[in-house]
Amino acid sequence: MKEDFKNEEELANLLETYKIDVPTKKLSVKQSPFNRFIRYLGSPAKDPLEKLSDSNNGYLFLKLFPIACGIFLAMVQILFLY
Amino acid sequence: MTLTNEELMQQVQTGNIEALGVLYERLHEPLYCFLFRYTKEEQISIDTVHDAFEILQKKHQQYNASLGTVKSFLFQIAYRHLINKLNRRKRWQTLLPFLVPIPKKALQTDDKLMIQQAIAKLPDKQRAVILLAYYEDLPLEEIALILSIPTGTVKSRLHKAIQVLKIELKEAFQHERGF
Repeated sequence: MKEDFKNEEELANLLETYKIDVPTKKLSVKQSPFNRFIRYLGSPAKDPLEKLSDSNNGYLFLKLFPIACGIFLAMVQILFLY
Repeated sequence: MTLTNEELMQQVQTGNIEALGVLYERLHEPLYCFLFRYTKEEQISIDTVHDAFEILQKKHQQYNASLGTVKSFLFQIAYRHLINKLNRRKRWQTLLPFLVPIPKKALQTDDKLMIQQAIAKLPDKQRAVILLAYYEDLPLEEIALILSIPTGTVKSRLHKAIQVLKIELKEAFQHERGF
């Protein structure tokens, strides 16, 4: 079906520039499901609290939330004592 | 005398596993290239190539030479497997967005980056068609078999993909030249 691109010379020339480097070494070794899982765990991922840490209020929330949780847990323990 | 892929597949079906090794040597690179151009992710493409050949080994008896070539059978297996993987990942992404790995970005020339981005922006269905039509130079019928769609749909998606790419690349050129 490459013939369909005969009338689209400019597009075909651009498509031709998209060459792929085939990772032959990695392709020659099949990873076990366990190794794939470990690799996935170790891969860089997005920070879930990125949006919060970007703004002033969000940053303040991140600082105060653990303190508030600590106070809450302490109060729960005191209530259980009495 | 070099055996064709179909003859090798016949040997696999009669129990000659070495023939599958020869098929792997011939077809793993074009398969990887298609998957990588589709996903732009190296690791998922590598995993899918391996899985596809594993599935081919298990389901070799399902291959029927009258329905299509070995290449289209393999690409069909790989494409379906990849789509299932990507759909599964999308479901996880909606639940836990930060669990999706960030793909590595390689340094590239401007033209290659432009065409790569233009292809990546295409809708999934159009992208698959144009990759198989141009880079694999597959006929209409084989593309239809791989993607499990009618040949008319292949034609219309290819036509749309070409139009979209032309517009996208024209805009990219104009942006680069400061128009």
